[in-house]
Amino acid sequence: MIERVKSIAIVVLVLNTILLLYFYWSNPAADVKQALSALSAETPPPVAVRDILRPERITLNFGGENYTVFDADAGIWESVGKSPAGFIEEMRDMASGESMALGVISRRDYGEVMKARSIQADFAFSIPFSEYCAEYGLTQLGRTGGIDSFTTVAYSTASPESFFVCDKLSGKYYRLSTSRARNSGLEALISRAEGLNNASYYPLRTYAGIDNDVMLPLDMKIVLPETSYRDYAVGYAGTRDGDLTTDMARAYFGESFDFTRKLTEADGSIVYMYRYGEKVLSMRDGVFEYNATADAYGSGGFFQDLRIALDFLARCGAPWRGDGAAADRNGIYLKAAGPNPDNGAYRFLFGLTRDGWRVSYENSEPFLVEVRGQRATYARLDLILCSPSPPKPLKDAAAPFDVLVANYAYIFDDLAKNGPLRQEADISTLDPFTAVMERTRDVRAGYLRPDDGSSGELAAVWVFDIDGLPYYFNLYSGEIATRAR
Amino acid sequence: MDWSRAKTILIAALLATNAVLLAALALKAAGPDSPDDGLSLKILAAAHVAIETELPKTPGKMAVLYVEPEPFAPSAIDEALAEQAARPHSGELTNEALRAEADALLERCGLMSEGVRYLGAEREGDARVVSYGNTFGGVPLEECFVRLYFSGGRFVKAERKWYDPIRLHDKKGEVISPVEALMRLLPEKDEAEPLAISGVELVYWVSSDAAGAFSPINDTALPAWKITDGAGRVRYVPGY
Repeated sequence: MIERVKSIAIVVLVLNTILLLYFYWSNPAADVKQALSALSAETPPPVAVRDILRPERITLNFGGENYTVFDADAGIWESVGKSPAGFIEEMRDMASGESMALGVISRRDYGEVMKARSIQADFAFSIPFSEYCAEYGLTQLGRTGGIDSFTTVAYSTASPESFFVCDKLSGKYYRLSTSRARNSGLEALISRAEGLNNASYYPLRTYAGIDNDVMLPLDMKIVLPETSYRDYAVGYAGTRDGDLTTDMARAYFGESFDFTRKLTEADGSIVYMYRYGEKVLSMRDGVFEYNATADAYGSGGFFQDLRIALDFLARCGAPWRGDGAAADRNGIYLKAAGPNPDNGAYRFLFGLTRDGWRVSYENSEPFLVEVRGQRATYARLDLILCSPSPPKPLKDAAAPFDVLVANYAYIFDDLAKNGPLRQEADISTLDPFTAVMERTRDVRAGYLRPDDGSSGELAAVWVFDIDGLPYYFNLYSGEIATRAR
Repeated sequence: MDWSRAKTILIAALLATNAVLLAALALKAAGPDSPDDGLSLKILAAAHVAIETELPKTPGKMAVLYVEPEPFAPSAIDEALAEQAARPHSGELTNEALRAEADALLERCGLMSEGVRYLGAEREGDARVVSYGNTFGGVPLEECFVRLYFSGGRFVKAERKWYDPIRLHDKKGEVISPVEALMRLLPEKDEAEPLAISGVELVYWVSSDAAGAFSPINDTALPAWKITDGAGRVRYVPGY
C-alpha cells in the first residue's frame, strides 16, 4: 500500500515540476517557435570580396595601338585558362623575394609606355593600396609605401621589369620596378588573348582627333537576348512562404523583430521601426530603405566595410552572385566605393548584371549601402530578378562612334540643361562636337531598365558616360532609348 | 535494488525541486523585481529621484499590440455637431446627464467598446470637457483619447486621437521592471535637480514622435512605462 502511494506521489510530483517549469518560463511554446523560425530563416552566404572586387575593364594593347577591351565580367582570365585573380598572381610572383623600387611618373610617360604591348586593369573607384596588398597577400608590395590608393594596375612589355600602379581619379602614376624582368606570365596572357577573336578597340582620339583615351570598338557583333524582369519582392513571393518585407525585417532586426513597431500605409507601404527610430526599414513601391543610428564612428577600412555591406545584402536573401562571368545568372558588381562627404560613412554602390552584361537603371540604382562604425547605417535596395532568355545569334551593333556623331547635338543640349555645362559662363563659345567628345568617359554595351517598367523587358543599349551623366541609345539602331530628362 | 528506498529519495528530490521552483516563482511575482533593482533604487536615490508612489509589479512577458488608427468615420461626429448646433441652448447639465450625452455620442460614432473607459469631466473656460481613453486587457492604450466639449448643454467640439486594438502579436518579450524604466530616465536628467515621481503605470503606447512622417492605416502599440513626475509631466519609456 505504502509503495503504491509513493509511486502515485512520484507521478504527481513530476507533473507538478513540469507545470512549475512551464509557469517559470512563461509562454515556452512561443519561445521555441521563435527559436525555430530564427533557425529556418534562410540567409545565403554573402558574396565573397574577391568575387566582387574585379576590375571593371581590362584593356589589352597588342602593339601599334591595336587594342581590345574585356569587360571584367566577360571573364578574360577564364578565357586564357587563368583564375580571375590572374593579375594578382602575376604581381605576387613578380614581387616575391624582390625589393621593389617606387618611382613617380607623369601621365604622359605612362601613356607612352602603354603604347607598347601592354595590359591595364581598371577599377571604377580608388582602393587603398596597402589594404589591398594585405588582403591579397602582396606583403612585399605592401611594404613599399608611398602609394595611398589606386584605380589601375598595368604592365607593359616596354618595361618588363616594372608594374605600373595609378590612381587615375587623383591623377597619380607610379612605377614599381624589380631588378630583373619576370613577367613572362603576363606576356603569355597577352599573346593568348591576341589569338582570340577579339573586337578591335581604338582610343576616341583616333576617331575624333581630340585628347581622349576612352576606348571604343570600331564595330561589334553582340547579342543581348530579350530579357524580362520582375521586382525582386514579386519574384521572392513566388518562391517562399513569407513575404520579402517581413523576412528582410526579421533578418535586419534579428531577435528584436517581434518587438518592433509595424506601420502600414494606405498605399501599401510598410515601415518597421525598432526602438522608435533606432532602426527603420521601409518598403515603398518595391524599394526598400534601411536607416540605423550609428553606435560608433569611423571606418573599419575598405575591406572590412565592404564585407559588412555584402553581409547586409546577403541578409535580404539575395540570390545574386559576384562572379557574373557565367551566362544565365543574376550577378552583382561593385560600381562605386568611397566616403560619403556628408557623414564620413563608407558608401558602396552595387550594380546588377545579367548574363555578364551590366543592367543600368534609368534614374535609380539597384543597391546602395553605407557603413559607419562597423555597421550598415543606410541602405537602399531597388532590386529586380531577370529571367533566363534563350541564346540568339550574334548581331551587328550600331558602331558607338557613329552613335556619338549622330547624337552629339542632343547630348550637348542635355549637358547644357542638366549637366555640369550648366555652370559654364558662356557655352556658346564651345564647339558641341568637341565638347561632347572631350567629356566622354566610358562607353559600354548593356541592358537598361527603363523608368516606365510597364513592359517588364530590359532594353539592349549602348551606355555613354558623358561628364558623369549616362546616355542610353538602342544597341542596334543607335536611337535614343530614354525620354528627355 | 531497494526500490522503496529509491522511491523515497526520488520523492525527496522532487519535493526539493518543487520547493525551489515555487520560491523562484514567488520571488518573480513579488517584484520589484530583479535582484538588481535594489542597487538601482539606491542609484536613483543618489541621483535625487524621489519615488512618491507605489511601483507596480513587472508584468513579465508581453506581446506588441496591433492597432487601427482612427477607425471611425469623422462624418459621424460632424453630423452630431450639425444636429447639436440646431438645438436650443439649455442650462448646465449635471455630471450624470453630461456623461450620458457623451456616452450616447460615442455609441453613435461606433466608438463605444468594452475597453473604452471614462476618464472624467472637467471645466475648460466656458466649456465642460468629457474625456475617454481606451484600454486593452485592462492596460491603458496611450496616447489614445477622445475629448468631447459641451457648452450651454450642447456638444460643440471633439478632439480625438484614437486607436482600436486589433490583436496581439503571437510572440512575447520580457518587459523591463519599472525601476529599470526609471533608470532609463537618468541620462537625460540634470543630476543635481530633484525629480519626484508621482506615477508609474504600465501602458500600451503608440508613439507619435518618430512616426510623424507617416499616415498609417495599421500601427503597433508597444508595452511602455508611463512615468508622471510631480509637475505632471509625462514620459514614456519603451518596455522592451
